Amino acid sequence: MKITHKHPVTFSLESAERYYENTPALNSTTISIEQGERVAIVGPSGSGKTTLLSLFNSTVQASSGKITLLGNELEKTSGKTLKKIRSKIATIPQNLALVDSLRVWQNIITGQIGNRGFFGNLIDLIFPSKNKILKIHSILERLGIDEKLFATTSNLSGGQKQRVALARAIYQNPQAILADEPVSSVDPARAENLVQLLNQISEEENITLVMSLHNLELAQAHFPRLIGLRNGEVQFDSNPEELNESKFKELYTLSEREILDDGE
Amino acid sequence: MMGNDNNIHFNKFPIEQIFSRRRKVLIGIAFIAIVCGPLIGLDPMRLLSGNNLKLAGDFMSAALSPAMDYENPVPGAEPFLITVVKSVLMTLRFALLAMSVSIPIGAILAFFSTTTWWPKIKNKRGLKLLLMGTHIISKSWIAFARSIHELMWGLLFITAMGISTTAAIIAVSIPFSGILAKIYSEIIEEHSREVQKLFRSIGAGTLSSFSFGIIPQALPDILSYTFYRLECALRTATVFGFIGIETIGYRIKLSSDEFHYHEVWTYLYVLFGTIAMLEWWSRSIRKRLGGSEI
Repeated sequence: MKITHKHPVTFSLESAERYYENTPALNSTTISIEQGERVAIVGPSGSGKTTLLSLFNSTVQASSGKITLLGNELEKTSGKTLKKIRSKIATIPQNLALVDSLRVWQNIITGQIGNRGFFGNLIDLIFPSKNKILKIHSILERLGIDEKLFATTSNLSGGQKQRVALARAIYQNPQAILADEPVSSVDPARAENLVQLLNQISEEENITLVMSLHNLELAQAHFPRLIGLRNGEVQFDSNPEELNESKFKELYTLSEREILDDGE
Repeated sequence: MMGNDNNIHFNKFPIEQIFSRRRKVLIGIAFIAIVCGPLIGLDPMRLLSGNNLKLAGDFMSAALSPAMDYENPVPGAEPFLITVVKSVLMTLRFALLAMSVSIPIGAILAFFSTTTWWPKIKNKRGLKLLLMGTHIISKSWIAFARSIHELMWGLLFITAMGISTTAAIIAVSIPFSGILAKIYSEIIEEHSREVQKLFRSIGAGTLSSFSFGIIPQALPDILSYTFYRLECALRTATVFGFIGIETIGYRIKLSSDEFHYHEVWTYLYVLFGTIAMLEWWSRSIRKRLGGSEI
């Protein structure tokens, strides 16, 4: 049966598998995510969430299966096209990957690193144009930290750093944002605030948002689609209303062996 | 009660522990030093014999009253303090020139001796061979350049080219560029690759993701070490004065040969002041870049 989509597909996996030295991290997985969709990937540590996100920006290659990113089938894609595709997919990693010694605007301007050559990036980092600074300022204003534009990143709080990482993703002008447990190291209030903000931006700008989360309540409250992973297999893929308590319990109840193995 | 306490104290430190293995080794080293000292002509008593103690005393007491003028003025000679300033500037010029040659060479060697920036070379045999080749050549050159002290290079180049600043600068630049390259590459490899990985994931090329993902993180440490090497270059420039290059060392040697210790101390204090100023400058730059303040 051929699946039809209302909107263009951002990410599509067909029977994709990924092995790390004969150990499966992701078993035959078929997932399709449309443009503008907001999806939370949930599951215990070691369930394959990070591997799935890494397949979505092609930083990890599938061992088998067909992967399509932004309408481009990866197998038929040249290195140059892959770079272009990647420049349209923003990533917010768990550790945020900010350079502490740089100013806030410098960290944000690197969001466009994939669209500029070496010298273009060098000029941006040393002599940015007024328009670029104004654009960065407007993004920071939207995120509520515009007064930190010229601050040194090391002097920011954890919550402010998260917003800088988000601002860098927005400045990239992406078609999709991949966020790998970006709220795992902050308090619940800040976590909720950031998830809310990400959802709001993604909705307003029609950006596809795929976020891996440990916090099930957050995922249920803010995402219209949840994908549950366990042992590299999709346990469920539906909207939160369709999921009952037992499904979640099943997802997070670990065997003794799994507890001893402890995650990815 | 006191007796009991003493007993407990004694029991805690039995005699075998006083001569523990580590202490025996230390005693052995001290014994070897005492025995070998005379064999290499080490004779601390010479300090006390003849005029030596008086000279040492004169030298130390001159530290309290550094010269503001020549101790033995020569008619028509430029003022002493002008000579001091000129010799410091000459030393600084020498050190800066040596560093301005060493830094770019060191940076290039560091770049080729680290694998941090390498692209994925799984299926590219030619590229792999080229990268491995430059890597091995850089590493070998760094090891060779560092293995010979700048004074040895100095003697070699001065013998070949005569006493000239150019010869001395080449002599300093060879080991210094090797040392800088080694430390730069180690600093680069110690830093987190998370930002570099992120930049690659959003489409950056190999050079951009390395240059903007690793170098800004490493820069405070690189600058800190570069300033330390500049200090070393200043000291080396001073020592090169003793083999005829007209730095502050040359002036120290002339004054010392004439037993003008007050002049010597003036030069030493000015040298100390210059290094302290460099340290202060380096600290303020590191602070601005958000690096360690050590």
